[in-house]
Amino acid sequence: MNIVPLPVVLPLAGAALILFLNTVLPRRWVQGITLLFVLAEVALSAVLLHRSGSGTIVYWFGGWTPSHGVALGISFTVDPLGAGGAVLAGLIVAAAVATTGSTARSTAGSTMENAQGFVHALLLTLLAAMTGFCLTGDLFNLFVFFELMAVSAFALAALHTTSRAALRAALNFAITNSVGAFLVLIGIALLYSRSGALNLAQIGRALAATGHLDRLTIIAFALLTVGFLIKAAVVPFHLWLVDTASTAPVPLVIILAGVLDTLGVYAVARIYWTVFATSVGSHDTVVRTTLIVIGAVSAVTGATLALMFEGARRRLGCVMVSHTGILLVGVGCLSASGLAGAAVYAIGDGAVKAALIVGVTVAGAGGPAVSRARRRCGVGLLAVGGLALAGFPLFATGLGKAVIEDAASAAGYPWVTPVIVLAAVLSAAAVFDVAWSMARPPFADVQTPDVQIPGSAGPSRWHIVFAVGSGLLALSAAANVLGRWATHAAVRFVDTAGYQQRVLGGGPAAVLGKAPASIQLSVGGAAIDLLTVLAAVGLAAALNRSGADRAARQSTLRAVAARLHDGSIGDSVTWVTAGTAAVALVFAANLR
Amino acid sequence: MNFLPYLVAIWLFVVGLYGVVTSRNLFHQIISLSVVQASTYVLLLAIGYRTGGTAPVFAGIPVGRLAVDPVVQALSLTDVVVGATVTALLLAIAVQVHKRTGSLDPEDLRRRLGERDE
Amino acid sequence: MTIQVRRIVFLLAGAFLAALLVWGMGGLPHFGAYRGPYGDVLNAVSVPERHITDVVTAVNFDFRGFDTLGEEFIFFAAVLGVALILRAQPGEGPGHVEDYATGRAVPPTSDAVRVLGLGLTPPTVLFAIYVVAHGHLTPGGGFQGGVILATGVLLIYLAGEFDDLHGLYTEVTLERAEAIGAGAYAAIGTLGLLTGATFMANVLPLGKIGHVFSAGTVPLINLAVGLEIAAGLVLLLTTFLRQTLVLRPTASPGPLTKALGG
Repeated sequence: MNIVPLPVVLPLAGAALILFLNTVLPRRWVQGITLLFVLAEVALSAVLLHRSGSGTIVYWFGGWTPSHGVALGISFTVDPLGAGGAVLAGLIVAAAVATTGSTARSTAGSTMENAQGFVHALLLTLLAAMTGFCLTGDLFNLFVFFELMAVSAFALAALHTTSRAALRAALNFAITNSVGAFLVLIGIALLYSRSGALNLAQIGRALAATGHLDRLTIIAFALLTVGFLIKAAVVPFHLWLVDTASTAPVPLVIILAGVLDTLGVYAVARIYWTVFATSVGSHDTVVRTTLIVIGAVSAVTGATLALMFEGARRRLGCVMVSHTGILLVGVGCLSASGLAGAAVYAIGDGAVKAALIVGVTVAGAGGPAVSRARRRCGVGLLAVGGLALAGFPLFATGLGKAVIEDAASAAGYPWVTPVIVLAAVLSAAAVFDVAWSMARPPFADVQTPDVQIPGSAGPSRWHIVFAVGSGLLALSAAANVLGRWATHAAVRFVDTAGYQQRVLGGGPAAVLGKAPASIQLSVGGAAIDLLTVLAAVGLAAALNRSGADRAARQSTLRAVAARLHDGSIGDSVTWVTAGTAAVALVFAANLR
Repeated sequence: MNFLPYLVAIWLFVVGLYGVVTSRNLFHQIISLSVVQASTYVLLLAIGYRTGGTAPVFAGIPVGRLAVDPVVQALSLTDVVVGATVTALLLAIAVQVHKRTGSLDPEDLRRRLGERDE
Repeated sequence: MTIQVRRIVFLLAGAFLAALLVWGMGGLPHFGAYRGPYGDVLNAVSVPERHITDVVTAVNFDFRGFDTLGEEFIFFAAVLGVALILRAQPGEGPGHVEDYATGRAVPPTSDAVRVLGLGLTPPTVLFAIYVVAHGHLTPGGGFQGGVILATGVLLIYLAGEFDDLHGLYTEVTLERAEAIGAGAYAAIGTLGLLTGATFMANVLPLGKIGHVFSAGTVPLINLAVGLEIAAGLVLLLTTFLRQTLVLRPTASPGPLTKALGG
């Protein structure tokens, strides 16, 4: 009904409201009001999630319904997976807002009384953008929300203006992601020229009508995919994330880890299944191989970097790169089961990654003056999070990882399973290593004073932050029951013809196949998961025992890696160009 | 003339990227990014052009008159706003970088060996 | 990578990318041969159905009004971001307003420039209001008019001093105005929901074609957008100017007093 636009409009209105009342509201109220709006968004998205289960909801803005198959206005096309993404975004942002703190006294770094209001307004616009991104059925609308997400995130990333590293990271973040956005825009322009439409379903129909891919659509496909993969921060587009994760304020990194990178992969999937799937047709092996290879390379590279680098948050940034790679493998299988596994994995793993950031904050924030209890709690979060990353079957990551491995093998890529296991082992071992280094005094990694935002959580409020982290881990465990829902959502997602018919009407009658079995953790999958966990623990212990001066080990490799990841913007954009050219070349050579 | 506007767009895109990659001044780098953005405007507007078409404003001319595509113009408008705002953000960051480090050279901004994140 | 290596890698990659783009765009129709249905349908439908003669504005604020709501909030977020990034750091405070490019003696503004500014500002403001109000009739609209309005304010600074802006507004007023503009757009969209139609539906009376008070909600949205853009841009300009002209390192970090002048 008419609540469809509300999950996007309410947070936007909230942002305007907070700006309006900024100088008159007490600080505690700003956080409270923001949280109210975020929870409202979660509730509304949950209602949409429930309703979309029985049929994809199509909502035309301005009352402009399509006439004769031509879409005149913008549509929100809400299917279960999209609504699920909106709910996840809301939950992660709620966790982030809960960590912003609202003590009435200002910390030493506070210089602008109303900075806090600005930060909360930006968090709300970020949430609105992510929600709109998940719910929309229009390609340019997708781009607008993509840019709103980007701008809000850039602004938040540069918060620590006195830190050289933070400014460098923010510049890299902004410039690299802007180039990605331009690639997307060129892709949209090309598609618009070919199909004469901006509605996803209509473009898909127009392309399918020609029957095959011509050079224009191939290049558009390549550009769109790469543009969104830059946001997803997979190798070789990951340089911005490694830097940003180390220096950006904690609420932003929580959001980056929990949901923002996942959305890049989501967009690749959405655009493939609504626009290109039918016309790619029998050439889909090329697409599959490309996506899976990129995902696998990211998974292993990210995990290896996490072991090699220093700095707790920097290593967590590399872990984020690695696990987004695993997610991409799941999506890249181009099958319903792969997508279902990826959906479960996105929720479970996103929550865990966010919990890890919270854990590092609890354990390390404030420097050596942190109490023993607090440090222990933070390390505990990290340790449990590490288990979850490795795929401990208690958490949804175990289910998702196993299903992704199965889907990849079923699609004809049996080498993927050992690669994912390796990535999980390495990344979990890195997390255990971080936890260990934070557990003993003196601190091996002294991080940013982590003044999250002006007036942020002081020592007395870490209990709340710890509770948030625990809640995130609990979310990851609870997501284990989502197997059936994920299968159903994935099947709906990949039903291109059904989507088009729902949005535009007409078209071939739906062919109802047998409902596929819902994904679940097989015995083999669970065994692999437990093996991964054991190997990760073992590796971490072995690394620990072989001495504290890891600088001696692999020093040349590490020096090369450090040189490549020195935060240079020119490097990042060069990799973007090279990656785009490579993907475009592969597609151009093989998709005709 | 048939494909020249598209070639111009591609040229601007690549040249702008070259500017971003090899620049030694932050402001120059940010403006090069604007050049990349300009290429998208050119492409969008070129796609919507129709030979012999007039502006899609029907004040004083009959509705059936041949006109160019209004949709790409609206898209370009959005694009301009987005581009201007991102440029403003980047310039603000550059101002703070200069204040903090005294230098505007992106090469000076790189992570030095053994630098800790702070 | 060293900068030389980077240059070589980029030239290779860029050449490949350019070649592929040229190859791909070879599939585009010739320049001037626009075919697609979307634009033609909107050109045909905009005047009879919505009484809007400027179809670009119709696309922006009616057919695809939801996109423009998002775009407006992109601007909103960016202005907030700039204000956040350029806030006074610890150890900075407002000082004496002066333009201190090193080694230059700045002459006082001549009377001729002042008179020119005085003469140009009112027509600029008037023109801005005209552009905003007539957005649905002729080329223009909230975005364009808002920018022109902000230019009018900038003229005052250019022709005079930064302190001349002091009496015009405070930053809080600008922020509030921007918030009202942004919120009003969302509120107008909600009007549709309240009357039982969809969000962003054009529910006000459409009036006669060619009149200023026509096209339903579109002139109202134009006003809201114009207000937001003007306030936001002036805030942006003020923030940059304050950063350059006003903020100075202080001996010790003190509480931030009233920002302009002081």
